[in-house]
Amino acid sequence: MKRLQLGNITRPMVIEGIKRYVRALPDGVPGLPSPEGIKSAIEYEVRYPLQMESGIAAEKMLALHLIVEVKKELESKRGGK
Amino acid sequence: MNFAKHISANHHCHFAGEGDRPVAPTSVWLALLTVLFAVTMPLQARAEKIRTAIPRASLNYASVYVAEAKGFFRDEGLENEIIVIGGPPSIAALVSGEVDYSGAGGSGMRAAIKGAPLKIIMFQTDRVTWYMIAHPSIGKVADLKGKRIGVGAIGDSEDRLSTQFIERGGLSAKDFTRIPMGSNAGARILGIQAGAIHAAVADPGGAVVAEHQGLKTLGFLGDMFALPFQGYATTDKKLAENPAQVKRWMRVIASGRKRPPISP
Repeated sequence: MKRLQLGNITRPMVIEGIKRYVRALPDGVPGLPSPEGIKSAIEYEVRYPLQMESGIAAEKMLALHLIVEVKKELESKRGGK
Repeated sequence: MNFAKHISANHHCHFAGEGDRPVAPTSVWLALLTVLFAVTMPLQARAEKIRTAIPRASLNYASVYVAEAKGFFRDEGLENEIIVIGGPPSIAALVSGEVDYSGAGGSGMRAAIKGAPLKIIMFQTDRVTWYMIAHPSIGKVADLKGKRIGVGAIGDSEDRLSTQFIERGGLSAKDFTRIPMGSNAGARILGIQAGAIHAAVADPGGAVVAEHQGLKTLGFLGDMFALPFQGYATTDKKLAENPAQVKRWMRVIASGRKRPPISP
């Protein structure tokens, strides 16, 4: 944690920051966005900034097959505990 | 060259059938020991060296530092080095092979759609991690009418989301002025304190610091809708040639997210 550039920040502030960060995490194993999320990502990260019209193929940018496998594996481990 | 003769001549060793008890030369024993050591040494000692680039050493990326410090990478047979480098330079480093994984997901998506040989392989969060912070005189979003809002760059995703957030608070984009001022949270806080701007977004750590310095948090932009954030990219080459390593790296990142770095 010392390597993080947090400036003049106390331990309670770090904990509060982590709590706020956690609001952005999904339930369960993270990593795989929802179909709606993928649409939003393409819209906000690609279509708007590059001013593209439409017809953006997600498979040109995303390869999520491995995170699907990892997510299943981690979820089954957690379920087995 | 006859290799057996060459060894024998140079190391004065004797082989079975030559009349004496066979004695292997030192170099042969060393080679055997090396092989034995390589087979039996612990996994972490043979870890694959990788580099993970993250855009900034902020709280958003604490999990990578924690995973490194706690040995999660070693557990997966990886020896990771964190490189702090953001945006397009990070993607250039990825494509040139200087780093193995890049946390510059947005830049990576834009590079990939233009033909760069890389893919986004996972996202750390389901939503943006931004909070809108403001001068203490701003009680609610509607109070931003006629005020100046700091954004990273005009037209970037942060700008669009900030604008949408304020529009949801009852204003239109014409009601306020957006000021491009880069991504440094400290500069934004100073800008608000100095009156140069009246509000801006900050990551969770920045929002906590801002409140500590008397500013106000108007809301969490992640509540608006799902927008995967903190994406990670790797090259098509890595995906094709070493998917096993990619999965091990993902296991570290994905499981590290559910391990709180600090116990309250």
